[in-house]
Amino acid sequence: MKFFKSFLNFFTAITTAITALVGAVTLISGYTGVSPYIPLQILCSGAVTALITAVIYSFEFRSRKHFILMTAIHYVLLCITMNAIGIMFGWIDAAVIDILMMCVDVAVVYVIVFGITYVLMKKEADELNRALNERNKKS
Amino acid sequence: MKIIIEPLSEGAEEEIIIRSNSLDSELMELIYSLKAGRSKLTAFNDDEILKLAPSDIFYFESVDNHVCACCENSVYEVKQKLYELERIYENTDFIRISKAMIVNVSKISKIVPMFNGRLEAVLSNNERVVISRQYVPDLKKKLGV
Repeated sequence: MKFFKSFLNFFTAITTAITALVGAVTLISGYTGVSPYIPLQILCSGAVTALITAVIYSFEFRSRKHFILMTAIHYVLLCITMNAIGIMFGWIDAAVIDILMMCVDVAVVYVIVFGITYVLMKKEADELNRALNERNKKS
Repeated sequence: MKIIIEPLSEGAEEEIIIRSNSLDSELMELIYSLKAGRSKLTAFNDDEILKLAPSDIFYFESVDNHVCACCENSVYEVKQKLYELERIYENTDFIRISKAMIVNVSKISKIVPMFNGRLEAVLSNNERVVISRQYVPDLKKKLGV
């Protein structure tokens, strides 16, 4: 149940971020030939990447070093998956420049998703710090 | 509840007297936490055997089936399993923050968010330990949030 909840959270966040990115790129480039399959393809890529993310984050990170290592593995896995999905759906060609561009796109989505998560967690951390300070003052 | 602290005459042993008509669960918890919070834990470091006061322990960590008590600058091995320590220190400042770690809340100087939806506790010796999401509700409860 916990895993499913985590998957759903990541699915929502990643799909929103991919949609925002695709929207921004389409708007900036002025490309009008958007495929009618795009919404379904975004949902599909969101589901696959959310599944990978939920699996990676189901592990406990014991230390900062472990966290950095898992984050690097996660990013590489997402790049491989998104490039495979991109080639399969015809979003990109199997060319070096396209693959590199997809890696940049993955990084952008990564920053959006985990940036939002960080802001939400900051609120929770502030709340805990207030309680911690009060407790330390008392003792 | 009224708390009276009386000065001791020299050489006399410290004692706590509880005057109550009934030993309810709250009182039992208090007695239990007093006992656990003051009783020292036997720890090992190479050939050395020593008694650690719970207030000196920053956290307990389980690594490869060994449980360590980590103090400010030193690490000792203890014979108890992590779940046993969790039970012993249930009503004290100690709280489970991940599958492999129990931390002393009084040693946490601040809590910072990580970039992956997890929280990290910065201890007073500047060590950082990761708090798993599943234990955040317990920590909140402990801190009265």
